[in-house]
Amino acid sequence: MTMVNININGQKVSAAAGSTILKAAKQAGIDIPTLCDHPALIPVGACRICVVEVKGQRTLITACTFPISEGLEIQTESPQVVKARKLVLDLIFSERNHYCPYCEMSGDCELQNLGYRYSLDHFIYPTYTKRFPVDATRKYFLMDHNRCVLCGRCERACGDLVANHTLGLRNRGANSMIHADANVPFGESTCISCGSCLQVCPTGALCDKRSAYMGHDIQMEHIKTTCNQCSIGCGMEIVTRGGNVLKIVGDWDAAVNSGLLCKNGRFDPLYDERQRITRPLLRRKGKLEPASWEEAMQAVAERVGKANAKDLGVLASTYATNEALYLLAKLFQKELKATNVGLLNDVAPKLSDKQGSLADIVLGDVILVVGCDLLKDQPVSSFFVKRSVDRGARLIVVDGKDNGLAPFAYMNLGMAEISKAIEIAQRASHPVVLYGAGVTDKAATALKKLQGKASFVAIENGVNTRAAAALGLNNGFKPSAVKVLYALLGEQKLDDKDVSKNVDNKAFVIAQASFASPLTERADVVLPMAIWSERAGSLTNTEGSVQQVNKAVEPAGEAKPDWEVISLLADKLGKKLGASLGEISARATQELK
Amino acid sequence: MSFLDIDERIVKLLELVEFTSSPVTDLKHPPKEGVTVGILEGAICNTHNIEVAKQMRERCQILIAVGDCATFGGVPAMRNLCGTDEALKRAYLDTESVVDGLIPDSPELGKPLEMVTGVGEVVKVDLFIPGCPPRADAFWYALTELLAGRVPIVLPRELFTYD
Amino acid sequence: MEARKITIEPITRIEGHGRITIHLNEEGKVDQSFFHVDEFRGLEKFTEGRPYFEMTQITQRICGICPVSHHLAAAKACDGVARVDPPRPAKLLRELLHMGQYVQSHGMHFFHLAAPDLVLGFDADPAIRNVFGIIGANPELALKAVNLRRFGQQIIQRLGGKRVHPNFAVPGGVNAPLSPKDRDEILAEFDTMVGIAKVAVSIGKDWLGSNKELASVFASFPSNYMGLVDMEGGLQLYDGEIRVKDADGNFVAQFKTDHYLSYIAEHVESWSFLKYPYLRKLGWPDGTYRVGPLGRLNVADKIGTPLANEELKLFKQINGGKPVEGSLYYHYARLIELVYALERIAQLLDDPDIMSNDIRAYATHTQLPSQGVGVVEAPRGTLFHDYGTDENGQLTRVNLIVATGNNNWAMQTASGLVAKAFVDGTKLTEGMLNRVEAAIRCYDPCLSCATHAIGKMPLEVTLIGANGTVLDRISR
Repeated sequence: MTMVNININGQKVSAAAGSTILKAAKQAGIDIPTLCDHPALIPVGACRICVVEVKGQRTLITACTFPISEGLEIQTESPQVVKARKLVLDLIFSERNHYCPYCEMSGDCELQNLGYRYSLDHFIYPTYTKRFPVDATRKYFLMDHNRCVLCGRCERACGDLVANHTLGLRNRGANSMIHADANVPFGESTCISCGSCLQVCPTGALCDKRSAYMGHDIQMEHIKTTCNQCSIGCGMEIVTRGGNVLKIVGDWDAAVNSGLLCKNGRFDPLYDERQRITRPLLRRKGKLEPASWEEAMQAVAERVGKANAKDLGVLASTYATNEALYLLAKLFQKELKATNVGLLNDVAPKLSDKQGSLADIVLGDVILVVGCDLLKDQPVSSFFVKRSVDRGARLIVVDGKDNGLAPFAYMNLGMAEISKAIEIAQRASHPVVLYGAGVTDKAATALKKLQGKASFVAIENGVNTRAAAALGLNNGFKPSAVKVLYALLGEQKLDDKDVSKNVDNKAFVIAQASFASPLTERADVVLPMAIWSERAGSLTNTEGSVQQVNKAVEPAGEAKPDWEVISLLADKLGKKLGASLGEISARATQELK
Repeated sequence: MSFLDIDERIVKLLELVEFTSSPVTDLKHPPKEGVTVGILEGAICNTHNIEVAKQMRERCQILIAVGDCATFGGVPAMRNLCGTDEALKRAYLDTESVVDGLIPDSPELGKPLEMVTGVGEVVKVDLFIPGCPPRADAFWYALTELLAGRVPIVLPRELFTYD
Repeated sequence: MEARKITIEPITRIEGHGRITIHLNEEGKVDQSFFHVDEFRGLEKFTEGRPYFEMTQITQRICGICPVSHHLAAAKACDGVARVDPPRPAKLLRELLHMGQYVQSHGMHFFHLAAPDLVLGFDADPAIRNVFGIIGANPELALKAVNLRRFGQQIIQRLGGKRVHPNFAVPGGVNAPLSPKDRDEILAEFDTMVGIAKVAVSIGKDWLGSNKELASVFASFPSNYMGLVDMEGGLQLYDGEIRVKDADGNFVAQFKTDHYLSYIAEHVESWSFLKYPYLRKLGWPDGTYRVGPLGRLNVADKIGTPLANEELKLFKQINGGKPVEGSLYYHYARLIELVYALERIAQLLDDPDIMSNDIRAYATHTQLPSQGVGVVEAPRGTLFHDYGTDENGQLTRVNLIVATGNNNWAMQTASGLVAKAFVDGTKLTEGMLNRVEAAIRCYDPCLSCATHAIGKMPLEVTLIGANGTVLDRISR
């Protein structure tokens, strides 16, 4: 890597060729103020805050866009520079209607911080002269154009990172406006509420409704964790205050998603209206009543301990940690010899010994999406696909007509026509095959032709399906044979579906669940389970990466982490499977290797 | 009233300064012979406010504008975005509780202006202390600096706020 | 002799901007007096289009003295819009914030605003007839006063981050739990603060006792009274039903706050930006009523804390069980509420629920047009916030009836009566005019609040002749 020597404020700085002045300065610990710049976005030089003096240049230069060259001499805080920045700030403040006193972002606002930095204490230009609209038509967050500084970060995030291209800029100069599609209300647009724009907005223009006024950032805790809503396993941060969850933000440092999240992971978990189960329940005289953990576990241990192996049935949701799934498999399959064990979602077939990774998507020139609806079920992975399409990759969707990626595809095929897709892929340089449980056996056989050539990435349904399948929990559940059913439901959304539909009425049902559902209504014992924010553990994503989940708040009521419930049962049955999370986790990791 | 948030320091301050007029004393206006320091808060919302601002500028050697309303226009300036006429109509004719409404227009009353602004638009201001409310410590700092003769006054970052 | 008009402007030692004009007739006696409020802001219009939850922050800026009242009334109206009932710990915490404000506001009013008249006398030299004069005359008392105010302000700061315009209440609850450290530190000062309040009560009672005659005629007039009460008729400052009694103490009405529009209307006059609320069923002007400490203690049957309840019993004896009418008794009523607020703080802090972190209920079914009404007793009187929203949560309609507005007619009447009694058209003395002001001061009016105005300035008096010429203007 070629290094280039420059001079900033009299200080000798050495940085990689191709860097901008801003990047070089940052590396050297020199602070240049910015507004429209963002580390995850391509710089555009829109705001003119980062202007610096460069010897030999005709005018002041934006540090964020100007590439360094050998011998460059730069002044970052000269009187001319400070004067220009103050002028820019005066103009930005007066262009729209900025009211700090009641703004949700006050205290954490980048525009406000610039005002403080340059001691802006009155308006020079006429201000508060023109009204701008507020668009609150989306469910989770709103846009107040009065607070917009036209930095364009939202547009860049929506277009370059998410590749959804909903946001755009219309008109010019002081009439410029950010808008959705062809200027329609956000709630009626192609916006998918991924919240990427919200996350990058420097002011209070984009404002989350639920966490508004819940405090300043310094009053909140940020707990890094992994999303529990699908098998991609995005890195995120749970933001809490006073032991309550306020919001979720993407972790810019996470390898899988680099800060991006989707509606399913960022917003929906906080808007869950299902009724939470917070106490153990025991059916006595036909009625489910609150009981102590001791009583409930005793009842479970008795029935499970006495049952024959062939009478035992186990249904597992993949919305569970490695630790919980490991204990479930160990206890029921290894110790109690149960074989009637199944998952609550399908598993993708194995198409290749060598597994690719999600990072291959952006390198692909032909991308096959087979038997999975990424846009709907694993949205962040669909961002990667759309980014590739933007770069010229050809997308071929092999699935039903209403697959979410269909509008972006070069070709849409039914499963029976998959050979056409395979032909095209065979002629590509870097074909990528993304496939899910919807792949038919025939299609799976056909796809094997691409082994060795294409990067195969299974996109599993559910959350921790990789681990569940690796532990052998996907053994095919037969409801009719069950006399004692242990259902690890967790927090999986079942709507009104009764997963025990074909299980005999007289069977003894134990439900380990976070929310009420038809199964918990009919169960004989209900064991309350902690949800995604309330317990630590690990998850294996669809690529096979094991990622940490950290606890952010205390479990509601008497709910316990998923692995702890099974650990207690194991203890009651006299099986020593590990006492602490650390111990269990180590054993689980070993097993999953 | 943020000024009173200097709490017990007010006793010390009285040893050093003489308050000639303020909302908490009975001396309504600065004396004609002038005072050294004038502190003005509130936005310029009606013709009466303009008169008061001009009088303060005339009679005070140093005029300090405090609070977001006086420095920037503040929340009262939100009226600019709907218009004074619309606001009057809503308040005095259309609200659900008003019966037989009318828009007050007696010559006794100051006339609301079309555009609400900060004090700096009407008179020259020597020092701006923004904040909503302005921080008591900022008052204290400014007055102690003035008493020590250290001008011009630049507020330290932690006392400079917009909310 | 020509008639003259006397104007008192600005009325110092109140919050907000107001003016009194006194019209003298041909004989030089007071003919009529008007209470003008100049300030107009327009909150009921310029907040349209804003997301409803911003009202907890926007409406606070109506007033620098009692922003917490608006903050809480707004939060309650937002609860209605969001269709949620805050969890019990959240209600306790909101009430704690409210009580902190009462201690600060009532404490300040007595020591800084009313005491100069009572301790130093109506005729004292204007240069010292103020809080600075109190500091000079009785520095120990002054420091006590400062401490009491600081105690109240600090409660607000502990909970909401700032002493003025805190950020604490949100739709459905509050944004942070109470820390054990804050709880302990507040309780540690309790005894001292109650001691200071007791000193204030004895100053007030002593003065009223020595000036009984004056108190019974100074701005004393019959009226209806309004205040919040709980289900047992006890004094309520945060939540309850609205009760109205007439001048003889008979029930006129008691209703849920949501239904306020069926009971209350507003009248407008051309010479003031402050509207005049009144009871619909009694019409204008018979339906006017008084709010604030006098109004509240006249409608309540009891107070839920021991020391304050004992004082209430004494208060009720002043007019033989009937409502107390003299404006100067506002000061006594205010001090009783100060004691109640302090005792209530201790009660709240002893309730284990107040330490819980179950502090917010979240709205479901968020995309529907909605509306909500929030009513609290501000230190100055009953405060109404009424919002309507569209399906996106943006405000379509805002109606505010603020505390001091309820007392508009009363202040007008009070100052008119005192003018008639004390202002002699041939001579204008400081003391005469100060008595007129003192009448208004009893109501602790917050004129910035009352016109939904923001900012505060004092008031002015002009003397006008019968032929309309300005003959005298008092501007000191």
